[in-house]
Formats: sequence, C-alpha cells, structure tokens
Amino acid sequence: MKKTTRQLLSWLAAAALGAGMLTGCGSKAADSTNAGTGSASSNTKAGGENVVTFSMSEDVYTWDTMGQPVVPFYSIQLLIYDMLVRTDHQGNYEPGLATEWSVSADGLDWTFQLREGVKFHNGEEFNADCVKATLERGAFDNTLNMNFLWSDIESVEAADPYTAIVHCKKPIGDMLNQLTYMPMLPAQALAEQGDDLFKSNPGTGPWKFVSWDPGNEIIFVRNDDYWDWGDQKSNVDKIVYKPISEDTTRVSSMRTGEFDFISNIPPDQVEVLSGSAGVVVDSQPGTTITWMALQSSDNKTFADKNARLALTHSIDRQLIVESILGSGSPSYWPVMKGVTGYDEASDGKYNQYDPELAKQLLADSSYNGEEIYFMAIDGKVPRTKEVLQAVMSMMTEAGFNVKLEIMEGATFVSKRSAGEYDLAFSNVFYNNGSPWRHMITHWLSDSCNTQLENPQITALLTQAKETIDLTEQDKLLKEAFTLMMEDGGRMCYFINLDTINAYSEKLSGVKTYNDTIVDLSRVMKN
Amino acid sequence: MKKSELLRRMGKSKFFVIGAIIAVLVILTAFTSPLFVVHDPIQSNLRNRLIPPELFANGMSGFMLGTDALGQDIFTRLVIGCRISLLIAAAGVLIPACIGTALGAIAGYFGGAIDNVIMRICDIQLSIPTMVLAITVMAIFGNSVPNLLLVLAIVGWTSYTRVVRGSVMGIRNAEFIQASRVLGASNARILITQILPCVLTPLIILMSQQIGFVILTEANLSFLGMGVPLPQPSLGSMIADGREYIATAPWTVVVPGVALMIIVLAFNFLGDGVRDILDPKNKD
Amino acid sequence: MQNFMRFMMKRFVSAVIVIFGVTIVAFALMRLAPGNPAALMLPDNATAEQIAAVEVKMGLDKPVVQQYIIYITDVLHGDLGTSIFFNRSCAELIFGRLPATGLLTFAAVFVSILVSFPMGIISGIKKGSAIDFGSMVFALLGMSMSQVWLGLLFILFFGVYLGVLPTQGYGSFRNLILPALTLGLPLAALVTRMLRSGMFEVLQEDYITATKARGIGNFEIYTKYALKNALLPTITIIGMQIGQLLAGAIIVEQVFGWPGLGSLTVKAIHMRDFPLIQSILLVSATLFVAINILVDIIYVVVDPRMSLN
Repeated sequence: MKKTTRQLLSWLAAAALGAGMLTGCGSKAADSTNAGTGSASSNTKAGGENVVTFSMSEDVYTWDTMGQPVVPFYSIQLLIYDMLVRTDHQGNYEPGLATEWSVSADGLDWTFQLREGVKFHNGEEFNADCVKATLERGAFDNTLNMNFLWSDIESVEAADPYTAIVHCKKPIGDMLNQLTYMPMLPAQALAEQGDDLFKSNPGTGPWKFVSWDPGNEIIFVRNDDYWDWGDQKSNVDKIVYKPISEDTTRVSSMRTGEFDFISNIPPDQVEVLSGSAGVVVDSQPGTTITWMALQSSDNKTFADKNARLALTHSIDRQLIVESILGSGSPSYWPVMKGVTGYDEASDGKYNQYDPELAKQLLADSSYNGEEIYFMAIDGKVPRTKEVLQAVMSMMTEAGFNVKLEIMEGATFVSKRSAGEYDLAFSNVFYNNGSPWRHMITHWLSDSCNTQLENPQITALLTQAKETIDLTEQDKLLKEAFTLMMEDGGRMCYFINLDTINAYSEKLSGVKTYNDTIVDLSRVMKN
Repeated sequence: MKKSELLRRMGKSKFFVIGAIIAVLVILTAFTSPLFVVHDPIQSNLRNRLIPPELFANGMSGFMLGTDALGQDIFTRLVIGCRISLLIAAAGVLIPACIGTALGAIAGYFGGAIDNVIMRICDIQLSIPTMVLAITVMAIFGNSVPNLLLVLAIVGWTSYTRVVRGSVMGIRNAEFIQASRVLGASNARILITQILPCVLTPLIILMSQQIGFVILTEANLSFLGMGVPLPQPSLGSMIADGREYIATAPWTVVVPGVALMIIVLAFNFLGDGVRDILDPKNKD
Repeated sequence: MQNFMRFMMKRFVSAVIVIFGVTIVAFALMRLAPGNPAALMLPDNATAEQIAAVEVKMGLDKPVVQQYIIYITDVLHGDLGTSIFFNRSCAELIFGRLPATGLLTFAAVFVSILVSFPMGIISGIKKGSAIDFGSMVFALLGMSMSQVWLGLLFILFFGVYLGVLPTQGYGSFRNLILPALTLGLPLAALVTRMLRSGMFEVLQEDYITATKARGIGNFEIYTKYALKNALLPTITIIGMQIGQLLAGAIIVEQVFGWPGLGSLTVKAIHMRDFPLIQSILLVSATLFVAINILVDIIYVVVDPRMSLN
C-alpha cells in the first residue's frame, strides 16, 4: 500500500479512537459539571441546596398509577400526588382531596365533597371531572394492572364541580382503603396525553416530579404552592430516590452518609447500623406476610389434608425468626395484628411446631415419598436461600422428600399459574390494615392454580368483600380465616416480617408505617 | 518433543512446579474428602449458626473453619464444594474443548463456505456478551448442573475453535498431509490421525489456561443466582451467600474467597507453566 | 489500495451478517424462555382475556416471524422500538445508559493500560528478573480474583473503613474510582501477560540480534520494533474486552449500583422485555463489531506486512 494511503488510514484510526476516548471523557466532564445541579452524588448542601436522598432496592418501572405496583412507588406517589382520602395506616381515614364523604344505605353510591382551590403541577384545576376521569379509567381499561380493584364501579358522576358520586355495581367493602393509594390525575391532561401523562406525572402533591433516569435516580423538588403545607412546610429543596439492588452497598452508603434514608435492611446489618453514629434504626412489626401456596390437584401430595397439616406442623417458625432473621414473628393466622380479621384469641392455636404430630400426620396421609417440588423467587423474605433451606431441612425431618429451586420471576410466575409446583413461596403486604388485595387475588381467584376449592370460605369472603362496615367485615373474615387454618390450604402462612428502616439523625418529620410505606412528604433536614 | 526434554522443562518452570503441587494437593483433598469429613455439608442446624473458626481447638470433629449462616461446617462445605467446582471446571473445559476442536478442525481443514459459516456463527456468539447469554440460557432451561455445563459449553467453545482453526490452517497443506491424501486416506482419517495430534499443543495450553476462567465464571454465575443449585455447596455460591456477613462474620466470605483464589491461581500457574514447557519458541 | 478496499468491503459485509444473526438469536432465545411479558405486567389473578388484550397492545399476538419482520423494518427506519416495561423508547433507555457504561469502560481500560504497560513491557525485556516474577504474580493474582470479591473488599475497605471513597452511584469522578479499579485490575492482569510474552517473543527474533549488531540503541529497539509488534495482539485483546465491556459489566454494576447497560439488560431479560433486549443486543453487537473492524484497520496500518486475507 502506498505511504500516503497508510498515513491517511492511520490518521483515521487515531481519530476514531480519539473520538471514542473523548466521548468517554466528555461525558465524564459533563457529569462533573452536572454534579452540582442534576446528580446527587454528594448528599451535602451543594450551593446551599438542602437535599434528602432515600434508597430502596427496586426501581420504578411504570409511572402509570394504575400500573404494576412496586414497593417504592407507594411511597413515591405520596410525594407527588394527593388522594381523595388519607390514612394513618391503622385503618383510620381523614380528608384528603375529599373533604367529606358518605355512602348510601345499600352501599352502591359513594358521594364525595371535594376540596376547592387545588391545582395540579401543570396548572389544571382539581375538580369532580378529575375524579371521574381517574376512577373510570381504572374501572374500564382492563389492560391496567389495578383494574380488578375498580371493575365493580359502574360509573362516576360529576354532580357539580366539587361533588363526585361513585356508582357501584356491587358494594365495595374496601373502597376507602383503595382510594388511599389511588392518586387523582388531571382530567384534561389525561384526555389529551393518555399514557404519555406519566412522563411528566403532574399531581397535586407537595413535591413535583422533575426527572427519572432509569436505574440511576429520580428527582423531586418542593412544590411551594402546595395547598396543605400548613405550618409544616419542608425546609428541604430536593428529594432524590436511588434504587440500589445490592443490600450491602445500600447499607454501606447509609453508613458513609450518602443516603439519608434506606429500607429493606438485611437482618444482620441492623446491628451494624444501630452502632453507626448519626443513624436511627426504626423497626416495627410489619404487615408483610410470607406464605407458600400448596398444589392440591388430584394425585398431588397436598390434595390430602393430612399432608397439608403435616407441612405446617413440621416448620419451626420461631427458630427461624430467632436465628436467621433476628426479627419478625411466626404467622399463626392469615393476617396479623392491625389488619381486619385478626383474632387475638386464635393467635397461637394453629401452625404450631410439632414434629411428632407432623410425622404422624404424614404417615397417615397418602404420601409415599414422592419428590415435593418447592419453588421460590429470591427476595420475598430476607436471606431467602437460608430461610428456605432451613424449611427444607425441617420438612425432611418430618419425612418429606423436598427439592428446592430458587428461580427468576418470569419463570416462577409462569409455572405457578400453570400449577406446575407442589409448593410456591411468595409474600404479600397488607396496606393500611386491609387484607383485600391478597384475598381477592388468591382466595376469590385461584391465581396460584392450587385447585383447592372451599365453597364456605369463598362465600364468606365474597360477603365480606361487599360489606362496608368494618366491624361486620371483621367478623366474617374471622370465620373465613378459621376455616382456612383448619383446612391447611390453599396457603401455608409462614412468617410475618418486621418493617425495618434506617435514617439519618438530621431528618425529622419522617413517617414510617408498618406496611413498608414511608411518607417523606413533610421531611425536614438540619 | 522427547520425554527427557519434557521432564527437564517441567522441572525448570517455577510456575509449573508450584501450580502443579497446589493443584494436586487441592484435587487430592477434594476427592478424598468423603473419607475424612465429619459433618454433613447440607443439613442445616440453626443452633450452630455463624460460629467463628475454631481451627484445631476441637480437632477434626470441631468447626475448624467456622460455620455459615445455616450452621453448616465451612470446612466440610469447602472441600465438598471444591470437588463440585473442580468437576464442573473439568467438564466446563472438556466439553467446549471437544466441540470447539471439532468445529475448528473442520473449519480450518475444509475452508471455504464451511469455514465462513462456522466463523460467522463464532462471531455472532462473541458479539453477545457472555453473561447475557448465560442468564438467558439459564432462564430458558432452568437452574441445574447439566444446564450450567450447557452454559459453560456455549460460552466456551469459540476460543477453542479459533485456536484449532488457526493451527489446522497452518498445516493443512503440509507435505505429509498431501502425501496421505495421495495415498488415498479419507478426510476423516486424516483429520483424526494426523491433524489432531498436531493441534494438541496449543489445545492443551488453551485448556489449562481456561480452567481458572471457568471456575471464576461459575462463581460469577452463582453470584447472580444461577450457579450450582441448592443445597449443594460450590465455592462461588459460598461467597455469594456469605456476602451479607462480610462485616459481621467475615470468615463466611473470606474462607471460600481465599480458597477460590488459591485454586484459580494454582491452575493459572499450571497453565502458564504448561505453555512455557510446550511452547517450541521457548528456548529455555 | 484496491486490496484494502476489498478487505474492508468483506469485513463490512460479514459485520452486517453478524449483526443480523445476533438479532435473530436474540429474538429466538427470548421467546424460548418460559414467561409471558403480558402476564408479568398484570396481577396474579388476571384473566386470559386481560392477558390477551395486553398482548395485542404489545404486538405479541402476531406470528413470530411477522413480529421479527416488523422489528427489523422499524430498525431500518431508525426506530428501536418501545420498552414494554419502562414504557419509553428503547433508544432513549439504551443511549441514556451508554455514557455511564462508556465512562466505566474507558476508565477501566485506562487503569489497565496505566498498570499493565510498564509492567508488561519491562518484564518482557527483563524476563526472569525479580521485576518479571513480581509482575507475573500480580498478573496471575489479578486473573484469579472474582470481581464480586474484589468489589466487595474495595467497598468495605475504602468505603466503609477508610471512608475516603463513595460506595455506589454515578455522577462524580470519585464514584468512578472503585468500579474502574474492580474492572481494570483483572484486565490489567491479562494485558500484562500479553505484552510480556509479545515483547519477549519479538526480542528473541534473529532480526533483533542483527539490528543490535548494527549498533542501534536498546531504547530504539524496544520501542520501534519490539513494542510495535507486541502491541498488535494486545490491541486485539483490548478491543475485544472493550466490546464486551460496552455491553455492560453486569456484576460490577450490581455491586456498585452503577447505572450502565449491563443492569438494564439483566432487568430486561428478567421481565422478558422483548423489544428492549433485542435492541440492546443489536446496539452492543454493532459496537462490538465496529470496534473489531477498527482494530483490524489499526493492524493493517501498523504492520503492512499483514496479509489482507
């Protein structure tokens, strides 16, 4: 090749490499300059700005308020949105965007008086049309994840600009609770933009959504025009959310001061954090319950009630709580204290660890040593592998032959819906003291495909679901739960998890609830 | 190379000697382990959780290297886990080596369209990041030891193909090969009896260098939850499981971590040593 | 020049074939895996009709081949599709992550070159010396450490105990240090070995002895002749590693919370986000192939003796 051509090509190659390095360096330089304004790499006052950074293990995927919920989103929506009704997460309700409400005697019509003078972040006025647009969208669009909660709504009437009447096909017993996590959306913008509304997320809340860098961070700024600051206006200018999936990293960052608030703390790190200066560890009994679904179709081991009861008696829940988890409590009932349907009298009656009884029941059953296929996803309980291996050991002692497989989510979901398992491990959390999401999804529908039908339980639950009076609901649920415990299926309830958060001493005004939801909307930082 | 020359080189290479000694020690310990381990590697005993290493305080029946989060003896799991990791490493090297050699020999010998197709498949696979391929395959086929070997085979065959192909292309037109053809030997016969022995040297070098890499890949897959399935121990899963305790019970991570490092180091030393010995360009 | 153009054409054509091949593999593999992205977006008690309705929304109800053709057609028009789960354009998500990945990649390569070049070159020249032994031990050690372990040790030591470096995140130079070291040191190990053996081999050649006999100084020999030739296979390796790194260093990203392409890919696979996975693989394959072509060009330019076949 001629010398000039060679030279030309070598210049080209060098230029290409150089361009590549410059892109790398260029973005590095850009990021360094952005560090002060955009990214929250340093969590101290940058240029006088008061920033609070909080972290949980998952990122938000969809911003659609009726889309597939992830745990952080329940807390995030409290920042940017308001709901019609507010709660103290103990089953008590207060006015939110609705100032008062009433329900008709037959339970089919709810009338809400709405607050006047509230504006969305995009300038739109909040009124009855917004309630109509938000709730009807959930009720009529069956491709939305939360549609099943709202499909009993027939229509929403905007009687006048500040009165909304919700007409139901059947009484919705959990209506008020459901409204506490259903953000109100701007009707006009929703009509104009459709799903694109969730790129700007305009709510009426105390914080405004600024940006979402998937996998990296979400930024919110204080809404100085918020209608409800009262005398508790936050002195924080910006809130940043960072998803960090690696538990040890999240905890390390809390210790170094990079984060002001974290949740999902592994049990072992609780002591470490408690000893760290400037960190407050907040632990309370939670409303997250772990359970196994039992496959009970014909010829399967758990079709036999004796086998089901043998399973539950073979597990020493207390030992696992004490030794592996260091927190939480055994589940002796489908719900725990603070949730409708909890029965203190029955607590300690069922699910007791009794290895001799377990062996006896198993021997009496039709079980012949077949392999029990026990499947799970990682993350539903802290130290999933250890906990489930311990369970497996305990089951083995009772005489079960167990194969444990921890797999990824998509495969698990697909196998569980098809019923291709003997035991399927998962968890659920009861928000605001209401067991209904779980009851509807897994008891009123057999979404784990367990094939175990108990008409009495179904009848009781159906009736309770349409009962608006909580005391009545509670009675019916207690009856249903008693039957569940005596039958040993569809679920074997395992352990109630504690809700553990940690935050910096510099913070105040943080509200942590037992259902893992965190309200940072009124946070203050020194 | 003559046997005496081989032995001389083996003795002279520091890396070979050190690597071989450690590797042999590790293999011996791992494979004789059933004879001397006292505890059950997979039966958990929650009352014995996280006991610090006792070393020789209680002799062989104590917890010499401590216990892990499930109360299982770490020393026992370590040696059993070594055995499993080594078996997987062996299979994870031999299987792709066989596939890769076959494909590489065919590609190099026949050339032309066959070569093109095989090399393009190679390129396509190399363009897909290793871990992504591994995760996807495990997702499809599920988490088990045979599937793990499948993943290692898929991920590993390309290096062997390229090396063997290069080697074969170098000698396919050599005189002795042409002579065989003239004498009427079939292609298959030539490939197997004459070409393969010649590619043995670079092949062995590559294989010994890949052992360490395969062991580490298995460890990384365990970290992502896709390694040796429960409840069998493997070095990688022991590190992954222990990482939560790195501050409070560090021996659960440090012991398997150091063991993994020593083993991989030994095999890397060995690999380098083998290369030094077999490399005709090395005049030492 | 003719030869070179023909060579480039051939490389280009095979590059295109490879990229197409990758899209087909990506398409096929993902659909083999159990799990339905439509079902994953709905609650556990979703009815078959609901799942079907969402499938229509996602375009998954059509026959697979037709889906592939639609996808490729869109790509050729510059549209990389919309992510099922993030509900954003794949291009936006992927190119949003590329700076983080690119930064980490080049930082890792920079670290590895900084560490490996001096060590590799000197030990190649002074083979058998103490420096050589030290370098080899470093190199072998670097190749023997699991990224997980290295990363966690760094976090614990520099982040928690010494408190001098941040343990996660992305945004300033300091965030980059630990992840870059975790990726760069094992890479440095590899490159050190390549350089060392490359240098040593060249210095054994007869023509080097002849050059020395002509009186040319050692320094000139090392740089002009030996280094140039030793660099060639080294650059190939570095190029390949860059290609793989640009696809995302999955483990390091998870340990350090680095928002790069790797963690996006893992999420996409777990959620069966078909459009996103396909487009990620397409982009990373293109980058990989482009870098390899670049390396080939460098080869040819640096060493005109190379046959263009």
